[in-house]
Amino acid sequence: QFLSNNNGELSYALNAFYDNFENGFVEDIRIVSQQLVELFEKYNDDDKSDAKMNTDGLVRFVEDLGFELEDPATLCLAHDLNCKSLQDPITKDQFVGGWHSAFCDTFEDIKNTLVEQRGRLQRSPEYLETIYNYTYGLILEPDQKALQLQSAVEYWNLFFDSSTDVKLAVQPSATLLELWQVFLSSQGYVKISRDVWQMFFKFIKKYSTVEAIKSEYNELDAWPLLIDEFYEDLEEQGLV
Amino acid sequence: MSETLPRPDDLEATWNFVEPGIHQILGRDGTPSSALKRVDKVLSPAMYMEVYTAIYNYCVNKSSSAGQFNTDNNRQSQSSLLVGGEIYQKLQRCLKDYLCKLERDTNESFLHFYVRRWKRFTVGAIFLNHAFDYMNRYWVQKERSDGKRHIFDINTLCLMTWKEVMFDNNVDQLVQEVMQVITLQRDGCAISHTDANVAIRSFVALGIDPQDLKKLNLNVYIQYFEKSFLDYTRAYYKRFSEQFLENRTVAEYIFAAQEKINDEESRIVLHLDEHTKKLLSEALNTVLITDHSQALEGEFVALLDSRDEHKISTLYGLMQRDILLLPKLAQAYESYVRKAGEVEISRLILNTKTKLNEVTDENAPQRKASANFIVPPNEYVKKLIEVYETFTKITKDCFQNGPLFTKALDNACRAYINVNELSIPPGSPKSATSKTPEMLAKYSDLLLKRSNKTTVDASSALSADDIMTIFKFLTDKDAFENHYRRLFAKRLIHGTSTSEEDEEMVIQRLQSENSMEYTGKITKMLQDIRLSKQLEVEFESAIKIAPDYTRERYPAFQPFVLAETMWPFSYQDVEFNLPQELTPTHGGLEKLYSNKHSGRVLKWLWPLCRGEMVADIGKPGRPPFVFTVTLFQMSILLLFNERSTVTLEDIQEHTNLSTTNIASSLIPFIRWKLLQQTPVGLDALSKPDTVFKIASPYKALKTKINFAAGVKSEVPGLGGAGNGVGTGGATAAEMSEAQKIERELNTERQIFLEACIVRIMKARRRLPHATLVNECIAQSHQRFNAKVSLIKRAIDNLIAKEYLQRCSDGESYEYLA
Repeated sequence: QFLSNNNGELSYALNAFYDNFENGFVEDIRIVSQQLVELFEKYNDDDKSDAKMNTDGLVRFVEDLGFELEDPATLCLAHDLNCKSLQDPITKDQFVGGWHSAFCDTFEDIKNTLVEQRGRLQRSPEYLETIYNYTYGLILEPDQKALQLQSAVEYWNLFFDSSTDVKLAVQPSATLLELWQVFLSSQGYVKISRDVWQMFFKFIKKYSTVEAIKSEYNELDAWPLLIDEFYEDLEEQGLV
Repeated sequence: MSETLPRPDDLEATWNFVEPGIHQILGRDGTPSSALKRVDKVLSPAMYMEVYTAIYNYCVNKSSSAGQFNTDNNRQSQSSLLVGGEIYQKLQRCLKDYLCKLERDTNESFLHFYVRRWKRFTVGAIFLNHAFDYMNRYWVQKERSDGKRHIFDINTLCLMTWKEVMFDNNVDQLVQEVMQVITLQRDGCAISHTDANVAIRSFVALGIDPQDLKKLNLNVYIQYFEKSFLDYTRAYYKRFSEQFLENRTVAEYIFAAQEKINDEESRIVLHLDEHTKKLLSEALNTVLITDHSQALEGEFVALLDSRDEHKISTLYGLMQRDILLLPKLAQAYESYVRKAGEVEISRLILNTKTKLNEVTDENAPQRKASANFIVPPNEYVKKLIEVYETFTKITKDCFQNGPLFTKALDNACRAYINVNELSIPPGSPKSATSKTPEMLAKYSDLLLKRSNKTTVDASSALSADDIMTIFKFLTDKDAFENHYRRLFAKRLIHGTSTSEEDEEMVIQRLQSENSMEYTGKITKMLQDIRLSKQLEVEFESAIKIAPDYTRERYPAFQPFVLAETMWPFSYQDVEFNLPQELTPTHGGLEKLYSNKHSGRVLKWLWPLCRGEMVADIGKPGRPPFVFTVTLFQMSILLLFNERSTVTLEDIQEHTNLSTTNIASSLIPFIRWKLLQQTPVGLDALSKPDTVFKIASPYKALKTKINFAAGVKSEVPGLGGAGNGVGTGGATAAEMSEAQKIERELNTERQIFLEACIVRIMKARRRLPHATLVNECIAQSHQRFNAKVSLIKRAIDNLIAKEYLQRCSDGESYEYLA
């Protein structure tokens, strides 16, 4: 039939076939799971008429899933649900739609997905970078252009603290992380720009230890000035 | 024709007939005299004719008879070959025999023997060639065109035979002896080298290409002679140079080597083939220069130290021979010049310091305080020029302005002019900017400022040329512009320029050296001053026709209207009540100006205003004093027109000035004893009930007194120790001024760089980091030396402002529309 529609041209016919087939395929084979809606209702406890889940509800949800709030996997959760900012409550559409498109229908599915994503954070530097870069927008105060140093430090620790047993795909040495934080506070910086935030990830990905910086750092590379200054500071201290 | 010619078809007879003639032509062995005699003496024309005819007859007859006999089987060419060939072979054998039989005389050197024989033989060969001319032309020609490449014309045959018999067997000895002659000559013995010469020429002549006789090649020459010649030469000069350097100095060696090379190269023209020239030069270069390049380079610095131009240029001449050595030499030159410049400046600092110490020996603590700014700008700039000129001369005279060396000089000058002990004192931070632009600006100020001290002697005469020379090398041209503008502004406002033409001339030259843009502000300042003068005239005529005009009401007044952003004065909002004596003028001018240019706002820079006052407070009968005062001082002094004592509170009330402004205005009055302060002391200057009394009569030696000069912009911590205040205040003010300039410069650069980056990125859309940085440096080097950190800051800023965005690779940027 497709062949005759396309005058016997095989390739056109195949294209047409798949086009039509796909349309038909995507059309509601999976329906939105009722369980997700129920889940949302369960944690949206304060006001049923308002279709938004507030922070308390989210915290309970995370805890019930068996994760600690400090777990980087919670950031994956926020990413999956497409949260723009920590302050914003989560709407029903976001919640249900987000999990739906992540192929989760039940509480258990969600739990498994998050465990899986934590694994990805540990395995894939690319995925980690996506989540890391996403986090900047998530934790940025509304109406602010740059991140407060304090929250930046908190989240750096969350990502890269080597004392926890969760080792992520990119892991700077504890000394390096500490030197960096000491440097920032001693220089009187209060804000961390998105650029610095993102480049810092590339920085520690490339040089995970002080020794690596010592042997390979090149000030002519495109690092932001702040990282150059960090290097100079290390130089002055005689560490590199 | 005494003898009858042989029958043309009888080979034996013909050969027997010509053989004696041949021997005659070649010269009989054993009779040395024959070699000396001319050949035509030996061989009579008649005999020569006979030989020629016999050969001719033989060849002609044979080929024609062979043609007759063999017409049917068509082997004409082959038979003629056989016939010509027989006599050819006979001749060849005869030549060989002849040469073998040659013997050298006892106690004759082989070389001499060889040469003597060669001379004779070549002459003979030519005659023989002529004698066999017919055969050459027909039979040999035909054989060769048939592809028989081992058949030669008779001359060549002679040479080939010579080579085979005489040369090949004795070549080693021969070359050995030639070399001996050359070595003797090298050692400086006067010796005849004609023999060697002829021998060498024979090597060239023996180079015969059997394929193409006309093409002379150098096979023999190169293979047997040139190679060993070069080896000998190398060995000889290796020994020579090593011995020489062991016993004598490098400086002497330079000349010796130069001389040797000249000798060798002139010898080339005399005896050797052109081909050897290049190889010999190379060999000499290697042995005499390249192998000792380290010693020579070491000597180079010593020679530069001695400034011995003759030696330097000789050395350069040597080094130039090996083009590969020059970059290293240029490098050495560069670092030498740089160091020399730095040393000169350090010495200058030291000298000035010791001089200063001698002067202020008893005043020990001051030494330290003034250690910062001791070198006068003119001496500093002169010193820079001096070094520059010394080496420009050397570069020109010794290095013929070779491009490598001019470049080296430029680099070195740029280095020492911008960075030396004075411009960047040791221990200053990495980001410190050079003081040279500032010093140069001060130098130009000295040049262009009218001064009453005319102690400028000829040697330290200042010149605009010097400014331009140094200016070319400044890396931070914008810093110079800034400092220059400041000093220029002061000259303009205070009217202390030597002349407008001079100012314009310097500006013109700066402009042509850099760009219109560069001098834009300065030019605008000059314009402002001209417009202001017009305004002054206009105002003058305007008030004269005013109904209430009196000289008292409108004192002489000179306005300056300055474009705010062009001038280095920043507007400060100062609380101030204009004294009523000046209000009509002030109001009048504002009215005139706003009528003329509507929409323009006049802001008054009170702290910069100055005036002259006539004060008749001296002893009666003496001419009145003329005081040059600031506007603030004027307003204070005007108060004393009404009473002779005034309290600080009164001053404040009338002028509305801040206490610091009052105090700084008052200090010169008190120091010059125009005012008496009770109670005394700096502390009291800020107390409202302190009383000031005007001295009447005022005693001073001069009638013109400049009080304005004593006013410092900042009064040092009120309550500091009495005496040191003046100087301490000055440095503090200067420090903050310097910081201000520095900050201003940095913001200007930042803006410039950001604009630069946006421009580049707009055109290129997407660029790797390194390219962008390089482009920025290239675009800004006309103004200043862009530091990478500054460029990065600009990039960071632009990313924050979302003009740029980092690409995902983290190493390039993208322009965001």
